[in-house]
Amino acid sequence: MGTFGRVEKCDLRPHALASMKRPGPREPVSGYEDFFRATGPRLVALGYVFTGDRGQAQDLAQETLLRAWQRWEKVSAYEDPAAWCRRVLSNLATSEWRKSSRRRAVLPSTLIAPEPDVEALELARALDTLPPPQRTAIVLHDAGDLSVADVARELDVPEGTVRSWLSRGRKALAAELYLSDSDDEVQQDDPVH
Amino acid sequence: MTQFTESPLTPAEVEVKALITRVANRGATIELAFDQSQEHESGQRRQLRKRYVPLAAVVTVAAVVAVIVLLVARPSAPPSPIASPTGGGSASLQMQLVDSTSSPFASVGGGPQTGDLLCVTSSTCYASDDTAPGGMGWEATADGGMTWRTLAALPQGRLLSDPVACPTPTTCVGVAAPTVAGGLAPSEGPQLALTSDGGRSWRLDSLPVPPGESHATIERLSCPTASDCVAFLTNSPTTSSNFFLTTTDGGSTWTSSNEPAGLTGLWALHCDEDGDCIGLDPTGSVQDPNAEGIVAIRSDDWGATWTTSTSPMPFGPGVLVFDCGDAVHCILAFGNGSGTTFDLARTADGGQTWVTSAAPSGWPSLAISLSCADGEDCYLSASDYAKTGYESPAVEVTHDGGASWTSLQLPEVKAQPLALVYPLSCPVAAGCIGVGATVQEFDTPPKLSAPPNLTAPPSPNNNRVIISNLSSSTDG
Repeated sequence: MGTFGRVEKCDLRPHALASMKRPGPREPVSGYEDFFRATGPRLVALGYVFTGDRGQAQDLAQETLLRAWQRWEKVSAYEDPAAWCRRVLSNLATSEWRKSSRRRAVLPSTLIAPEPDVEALELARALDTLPPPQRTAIVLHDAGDLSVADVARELDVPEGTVRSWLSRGRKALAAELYLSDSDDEVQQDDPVH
Repeated sequence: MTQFTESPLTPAEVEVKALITRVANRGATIELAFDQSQEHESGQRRQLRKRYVPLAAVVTVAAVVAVIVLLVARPSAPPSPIASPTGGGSASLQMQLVDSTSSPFASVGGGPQTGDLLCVTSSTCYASDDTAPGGMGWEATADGGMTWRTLAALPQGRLLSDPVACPTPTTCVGVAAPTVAGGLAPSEGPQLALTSDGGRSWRLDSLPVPPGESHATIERLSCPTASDCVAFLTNSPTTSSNFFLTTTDGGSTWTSSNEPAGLTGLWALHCDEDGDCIGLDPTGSVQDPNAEGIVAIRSDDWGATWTTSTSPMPFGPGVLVFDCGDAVHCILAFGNGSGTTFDLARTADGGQTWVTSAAPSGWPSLAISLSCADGEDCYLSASDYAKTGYESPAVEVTHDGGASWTSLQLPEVKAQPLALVYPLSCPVAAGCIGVGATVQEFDTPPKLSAPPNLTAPPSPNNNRVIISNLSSSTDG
């Protein structure tokens, strides 16, 4: 594999990665294992909110962690490597949304899921209707448990902008999911409709 | 400027937040690794594992299959549908006429030349409108080409010009060209037009070019997401060198970086969502054929720094078409001097090495259009060229990065075959939307038996047709 070589998608667990050739100097993958264990589940959770699909959530997290591993020397030096991963996953999710028609057309078998999570799918569908910045801000804040200040820092925008995105995004989501501000009209048993 | 202050959430907003939390909590229970329970492997997991098979295995299998195909294939054997190796499905090998009520594409010169087509999904495309006054309008479709709407005009009399990039169905970025008396005016400094509502409204954004670069023009633009764009800008020969501008915040801020040493131009610029980028630089000149070649440049930091390939692909100036499906995979078609066929070149390592081969036997003589949905899935159109014009078109598809190709069937128009397909735009592996020209377009005009009626309106059109092998569902 040459200078421009790219490691193919593969098993990203630390012990598997340790046996693979990594671009750049062959140095120990210091700290990646702990990072993987701590960050992986959170990334899958974010991917699940973005897509509503277990397979796609795994794909997003795997791809994000692969890219982190490929650049681990650089990424690990960041103040918050997890923030870099969240940003990559958010970008990938936007891209995956763009390519969702491909998944339906070419990869129908990968969408096999034992129990379709209708609520998650509806949420993902509603999120897809939001402008990407609003969608990312809402997912990071409401699913990633990041504060407004943290979201603002990760997206490199003022906090007021994040508050605006959160407010507008939630209102749009509520409308998209047919949720009413009247308590009587909110069907508690079926929050989607 | 509107100030947003935190206010109590409404019941609906509370419910939205709770819904997101519930889904996230369920998502956090999904295991990440694939083989922790080897004794019980679900069908889904088998599928996922299949997709993550190492490259070496793919290459080995492809090589074995290729050898078998070479041993048993007969020249007269009809092509059979092939399944995409990226999944279990297969793309339709039948392109059909789109029942279009209008087409923004018209003949503008008796050849492949026509407007640009940029398909973002199987339903949403943007196209420069040849039928608009001056041929300088843009239209969009959200139903796979059946109906088209005209995009809103840009502010300040600017015109949307190439390059244009649309990372999402509703987000587009393109050059905002100044005009004088209805025509394009000299650049007053690079300016972008941006829309986030599918071209219903636009805003302008002047790029912060370095001192002394105010007359730079945007030559290439790649925007893999709505937030991230890399632009390549060139200057007149009398001024300083070319440079890149990058934004990762939707255009709020731009960072400039120098071009790599020795860059002579940039034919292609493609960036992936993670900041990996590739560009193709045609080197050499007619005066120095020994230097002719295609040199790839690569970046993994959104164009801030670049590495130049040390092994250029030869035959640069003869390149007919090219496209990079991602930041490591590119395909080119180039003339080989025979006039009866062309050659193909492909790279799967960012231009460090190239594999060249002759176009498969039976293909038309001239590559016309090439579009890659990703690194593996590309479509190429070709036609024969004769004195009377173009004829015998073909559209070929590869699902393995150009190693093997399969023919698609093309439709007829009023029982007449197409003459050429240009351009093709393939947003997904499953297929493309394209523009077809009929053979009548190239017929010699009949001799006039009377003076032309100069007061009559021009010929209604010789609009080109829209073809597609995608099943479209309206976006949005």
